[in-house]
Amino acid sequence: MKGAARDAALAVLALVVILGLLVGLARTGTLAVPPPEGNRPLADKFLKTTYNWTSDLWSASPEVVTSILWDYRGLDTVYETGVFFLAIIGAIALVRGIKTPSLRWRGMSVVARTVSKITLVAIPVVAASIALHGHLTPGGGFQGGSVFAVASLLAIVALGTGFLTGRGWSKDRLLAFRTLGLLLIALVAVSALILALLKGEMGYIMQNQWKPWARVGLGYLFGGGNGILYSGSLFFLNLAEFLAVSAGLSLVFILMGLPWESLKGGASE
Amino acid sequence: MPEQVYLCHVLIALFMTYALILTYKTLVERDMLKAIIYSAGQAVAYTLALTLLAAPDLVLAYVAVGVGMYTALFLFVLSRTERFEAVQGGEAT
Amino acid sequence: MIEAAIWWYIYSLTLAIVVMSLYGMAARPNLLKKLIMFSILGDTANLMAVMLGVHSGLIQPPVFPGISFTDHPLPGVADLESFARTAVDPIPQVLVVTAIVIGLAVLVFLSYVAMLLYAKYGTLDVREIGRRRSE
Repeated sequence: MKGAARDAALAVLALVVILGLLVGLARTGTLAVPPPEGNRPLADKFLKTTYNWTSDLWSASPEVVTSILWDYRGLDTVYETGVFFLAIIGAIALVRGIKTPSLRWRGMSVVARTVSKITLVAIPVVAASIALHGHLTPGGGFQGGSVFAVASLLAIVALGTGFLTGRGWSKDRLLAFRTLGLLLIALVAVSALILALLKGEMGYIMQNQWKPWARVGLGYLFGGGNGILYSGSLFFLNLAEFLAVSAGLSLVFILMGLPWESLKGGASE
Repeated sequence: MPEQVYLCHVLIALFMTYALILTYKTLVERDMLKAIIYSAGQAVAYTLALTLLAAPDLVLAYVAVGVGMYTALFLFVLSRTERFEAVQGGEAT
Repeated sequence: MIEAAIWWYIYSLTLAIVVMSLYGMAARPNLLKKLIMFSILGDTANLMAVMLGVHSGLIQPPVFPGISFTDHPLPGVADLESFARTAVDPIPQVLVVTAIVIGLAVLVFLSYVAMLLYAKYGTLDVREIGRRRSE
C-alpha cells in the first residue's frame, strides 16, 4: 500500500523531470527538433578545412574526427590520456600487494581453447589495422586499443591468466609498454617545437603541418610525390595511443583475473 | 530519398525503445547475472543507434567497450561477490 | 511534422533512460547495480551528444571517402563542398571517443573499489556496509 503510493509519486516525479528537461533544453536551443537543415558553422569549417590543401590550417588527413582529436585539439587529448592513466594507476595502486599468479584456473574445455587460440590471432591484427589506418578510415588509437584489450580479455577468460603471464606479460613489462606509449606521445608533441627551435623559427606544441607563420611541419607523404600518406603526427600519435591503451587495459584485466586470495592480501596491507 | 531518411529515424526510435525496455529490466532485476545480460543488450541497441547516426569511429570503440568489456568487467565483479541483490527495505534507501 | 514527432519521441526516451539510471544509482542499495546504472548513464549522455550533431536529410560519416595509403588525390573545392553538405558534425564524436575509453577506465577503478569493499565487509549492500562500518 505504502510502497505503491511511493512508486506512483516517483513515476510522476520522473515524468515531470523528463518533460521539464525536454522543454528546457529545447527552449534554450540545445536540442533542435527536428534536426536543423545544415551543419553548424564551426562543423562546416572543420569539414572543409581538414583535407583542403589550399588552407593554411589543414591537417593532411581525410579523417575529420582523428584530425580534430590529435591536431586541432591535440593538447586536450594528451591531457585526457593523462586522466585515463591516473584511473589505471589508481586501480593498480589498490591491489599493489598482489603476489605472483598461481596457475589454478586452467581455462575452458579443449574445443573452446582451440577456437579461442584461432580467434586470438585474428583480433590483434584487426586492432592494429584499426589503429594504423586511423588517419584514413574510421578508427584510431583509442578504438584499436579497446579492440586489442578484448583479445587479452578473451585469453584471460578462455585460457586462464597463466596463458598470458607465462608468455612474459608481467605487470612490470605491461607498465613499461604503457609508459613507452606515453613517452612517444610526449616526444611527438614537442618534435615540431624542437625542430622550430633548431631552425630558429616559430613553432607550436602539437604542431602538425607547415604554416606560413610557423614554418616547420612533420610532412605528410613518405617517399615524395606519389608516396604513402601518413598525415604528419597523426599516424605516430595513433600508434603510441594504441600501445598505451592496449597495454593499460590488458594490465588491469590481468590483475583482475588473478586469484581471490592474493587480491585479499593486497587489501589488508 | 526522404523515405530513406524517415526509415533511418524510425529505426533509431525503435532501437531507443528497445534500450529503454532493457534499462527498465536492468533496474528492477534482482538477479545480477540477468541484469548484466540486459545491460549488454542495451549496449547492442546503442551500437546500432550509433551506426545509424553515422558515427563509425564511435561504433568501433563502443562495440568493444560497451558490449565486450563492460559485460566482462561486471561478470568479474559478480564472480568475486554475491549474485543476488538484497530485498529493498522500506527505510534507508 | 512526422519527423519532429519522431525526434521528440527519441529525445524523451533518451531523457527517460537518464532519469531511470539516476534513480538506479541513487536508490538501489547494491553496489554492482549502481555500477551498471553508472555505465548506462554515461553511455546515454554520450549518445545524446552524438544525436545533437545530426542534421536532417541524408547523412554520411565525417570521413572523406576513397582515400588510402597509396591512392590519395587532393580534392577540389566542389568535392569538399558536397562532402560538407552531407557529413554529420564531427565535434560531438571527437568529444565522445575519449569519453568512452576514459569512462571504461573509471569504471574499472570503481569495480576494484567494489571488490575490495566486498573483501573487507562481506557484502555489496551499501546499507549493510554502513552498519558494519559503524560497529
